[in-house]
Amino acid sequence: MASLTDQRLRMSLSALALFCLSMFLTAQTARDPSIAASGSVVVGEVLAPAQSLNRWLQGGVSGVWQEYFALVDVQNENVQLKSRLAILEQTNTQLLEMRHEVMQLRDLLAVETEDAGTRVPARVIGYDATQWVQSISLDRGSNHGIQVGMAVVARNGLVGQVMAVGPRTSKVLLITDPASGVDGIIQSSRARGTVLGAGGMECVWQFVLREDPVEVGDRLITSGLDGVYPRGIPIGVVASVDSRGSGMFRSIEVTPTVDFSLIDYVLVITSNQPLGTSAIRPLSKGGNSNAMEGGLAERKAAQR
Amino acid sequence: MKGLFKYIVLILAFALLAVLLQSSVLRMILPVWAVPNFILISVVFLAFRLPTARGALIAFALGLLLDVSSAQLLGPNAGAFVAVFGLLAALSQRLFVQAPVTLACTIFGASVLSSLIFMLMTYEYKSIGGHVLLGLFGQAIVTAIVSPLVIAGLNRLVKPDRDIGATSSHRRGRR
Repeated sequence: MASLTDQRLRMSLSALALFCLSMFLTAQTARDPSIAASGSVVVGEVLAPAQSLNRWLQGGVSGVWQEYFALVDVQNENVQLKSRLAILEQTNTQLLEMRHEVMQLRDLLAVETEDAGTRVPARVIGYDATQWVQSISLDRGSNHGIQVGMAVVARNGLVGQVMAVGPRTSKVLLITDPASGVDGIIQSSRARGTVLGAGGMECVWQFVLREDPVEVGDRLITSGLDGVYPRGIPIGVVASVDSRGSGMFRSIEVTPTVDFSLIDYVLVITSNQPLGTSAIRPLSKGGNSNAMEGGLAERKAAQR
Repeated sequence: MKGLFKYIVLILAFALLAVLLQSSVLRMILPVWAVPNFILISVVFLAFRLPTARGALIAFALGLLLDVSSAQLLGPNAGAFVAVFGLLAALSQRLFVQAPVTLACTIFGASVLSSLIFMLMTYEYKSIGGHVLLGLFGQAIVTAIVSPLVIAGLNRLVKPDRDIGATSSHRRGRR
């Protein structure tokens, strides 16, 4: 019986010691997230082949479904698409003409065009194993020119930034994670603030001055001032504006343009190097972005 | 000792498979709240099958594996799992978890408790949105529902009569 009591005591003491160790590790990695990022690379590399295989198998299954079974209403859809195609072809002709004109004007003004070769396409092979962190895993890593802090975009908008890189895989912190921050402006009114992740599928746009004109449905794009994300990438659409309270700023909810549960492929922008050595800053409550700090500093200066 | 080593290897292999399921296979077809937390189930399994210092160390390692795969903070999951393990291991002689319903209730409680401990540990460093809290509640329910099946699978994988330290100590204790 004494042995059983001893065993329990040993277990309790060990659990207590390990719990204290966990608290210490949490505090340490909050100060220096690169420790956790380097560990993640090892797990990512180990799981990558299985994740890629799973992605390939799921792609095959959904392909069979879409090509053979989901053919209901295809004829109606075909008629609709043909009519849309006719309109788009007409628009395309006009746009080609305009493009030609713009290119000629660019040549005249000697404006440099964006280099399309500085984007690395990557496939999403996994998500975070818990609900606490909003991140995705990609099947491209440092072997393909990807580095920590690079911006990641999808077909229809901003996805996030690279937070850990292995030789063949990388991990991307989504803009919906509370630790993410993006400097954003309203496309029409140019009102400026910081987009922070709210967990789940939403973002909040903070530090927007009360007098700035913002309406539901306004399109939010990156300002490029945070030094991480290039200018002009769609972030989301204003979902609600809370003007209650008497503070200096308003609380605004933003729905991202990208549906993170449906993305298959993304582009990693390798040309836009981040400011400083590590884009992932020490964690602090309410976001870790240099965008937020930069935005606030600028506002304070403007108020003075 | 050889039995214990095999036991640890089996649990860690299961944990890797669980991370793969949670991060890729199930996560691609189910919403995030509907993906069960298999690692937590294995921690509860450990608390009843190996309520020793070694069990606590394995629970810590399982939590750390989740932390490492998340690439943000090392420790919160490990701490939460060790606390849940410690509590359940201390109560393991008093709790009857042979019936699927009581097992599911225990797993649900463990899931909620580990989430609360995680939030307390990361309170200073990470803000948690309301969406995440709802998701966690949903995940706790789904985890509780699938737990009897997973525990049955783990019981088949790790036979109870193996010499894994806990059983031998219990035998000595009974003598």
